[in-house]
Amino acid sequence: MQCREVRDLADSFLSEQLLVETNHEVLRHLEGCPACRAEFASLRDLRRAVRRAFINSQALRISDEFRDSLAAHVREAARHKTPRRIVRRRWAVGFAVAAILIIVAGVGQFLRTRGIDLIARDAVGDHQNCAVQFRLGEKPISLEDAAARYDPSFRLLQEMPSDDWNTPIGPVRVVDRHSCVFQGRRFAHIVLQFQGQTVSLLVTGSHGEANASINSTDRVPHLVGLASNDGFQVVSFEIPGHTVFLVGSLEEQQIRQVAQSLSGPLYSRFARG
Amino acid sequence: MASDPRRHHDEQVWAAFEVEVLPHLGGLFRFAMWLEQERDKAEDLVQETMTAALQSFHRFRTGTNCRAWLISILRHIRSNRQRASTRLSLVTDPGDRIADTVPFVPPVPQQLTDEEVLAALRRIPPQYQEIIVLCDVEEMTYKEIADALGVPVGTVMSRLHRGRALLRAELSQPSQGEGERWHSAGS
Repeated sequence: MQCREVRDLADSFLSEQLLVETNHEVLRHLEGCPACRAEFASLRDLRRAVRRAFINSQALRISDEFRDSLAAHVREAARHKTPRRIVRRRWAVGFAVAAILIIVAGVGQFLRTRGIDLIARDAVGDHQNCAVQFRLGEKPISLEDAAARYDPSFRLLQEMPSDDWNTPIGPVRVVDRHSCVFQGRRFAHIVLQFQGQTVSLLVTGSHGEANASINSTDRVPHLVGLASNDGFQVVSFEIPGHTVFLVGSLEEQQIRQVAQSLSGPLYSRFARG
Repeated sequence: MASDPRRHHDEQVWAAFEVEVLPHLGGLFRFAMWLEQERDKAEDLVQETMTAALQSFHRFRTGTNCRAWLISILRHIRSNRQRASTRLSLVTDPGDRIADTVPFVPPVPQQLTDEEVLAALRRIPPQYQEIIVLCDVEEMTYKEIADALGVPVGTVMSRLHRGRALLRAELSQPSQGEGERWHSAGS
């Protein structure tokens, strides 16, 4: 190993992240190279100095009073309040949503939106577990594979949207395209970068009722903003045979702008088949 | 007398939460305090994080990485708060450009006070600060950090490398003033 290679591995070596074989190679080099030994010692000192500074800092230390009160607060929430409060809140939100929808759009529209809302939860879960945390149980597959095995329409998403496009509030870039599964629901998943944030474009098969009214090839879909789950904003729209979700941590208006720029072209493309 | 099943369930949730989550409270607070720089704000952030963690604890799988899970919740809550309180646009990784121009890594002076180290760390861009804190102070693995920050392991490695180079550069030269050069606003 040359000095340059060894120094490139210095951070990983000191963090004990190297494979055993590589670790041995580095150690062998260090035995015979005083300059690299000095460099590694300097880096090790730096790490120790940072850790020591943090550990010694009274300003950064949690107070006993706060620790105790927080533990008591959380325990109280766990024992008496949180589970029931969450249930009540969810029911409350459900009733509120239902009431508004009944007034505004009638029972039929309510049932349709409620169906989307259920799928939206899966879409948020997929965004969180695939695009943000990379911890899906099942490995994602290519859109081409997914098109051959599950949904031929996913093939349309291999090139659409394009890798870069503009919205009125900034450019959007595609960083990944694949198909993944969350809670048994398969999505075509296009990971976007927009305003420094990760946004997921998720397309999944919709139930017949949700698309019953769609029969024109030039219709501009109606965007539906859904209640955020875990701090995520969701905007949904329907295209032939599918429901589309945009999920991210941006504000709803920003997500809506991205959705607006996609909805018409996606609708037309899926309508043509 | 038959016990209340709901109460029994609540006790079980608390017992699991106490074992899995509470041991990380000190490190979580230290990280929050570093980010927020004000005790009241850090305490609010940690409390909200713990409440959110409790509410979604049913989704946490025992034996997986609890510390990374907590930090990802904390960062998410913090970024939501920042979005609510400011409309400033984020600069795209400004440190990348700066780090690319660092010509060499100078040696670290031998005699450094804790205050000098912390002040130097404050002067580098925040995305490098948090990686260094999570790796060197909290001693998290690259994988844990990647999980917590929602970035690839390769990004963790490159940021750590650049961050340490920037930190060494800061420590090897006199302080450039009282104020910090970078605020921990971006994440």
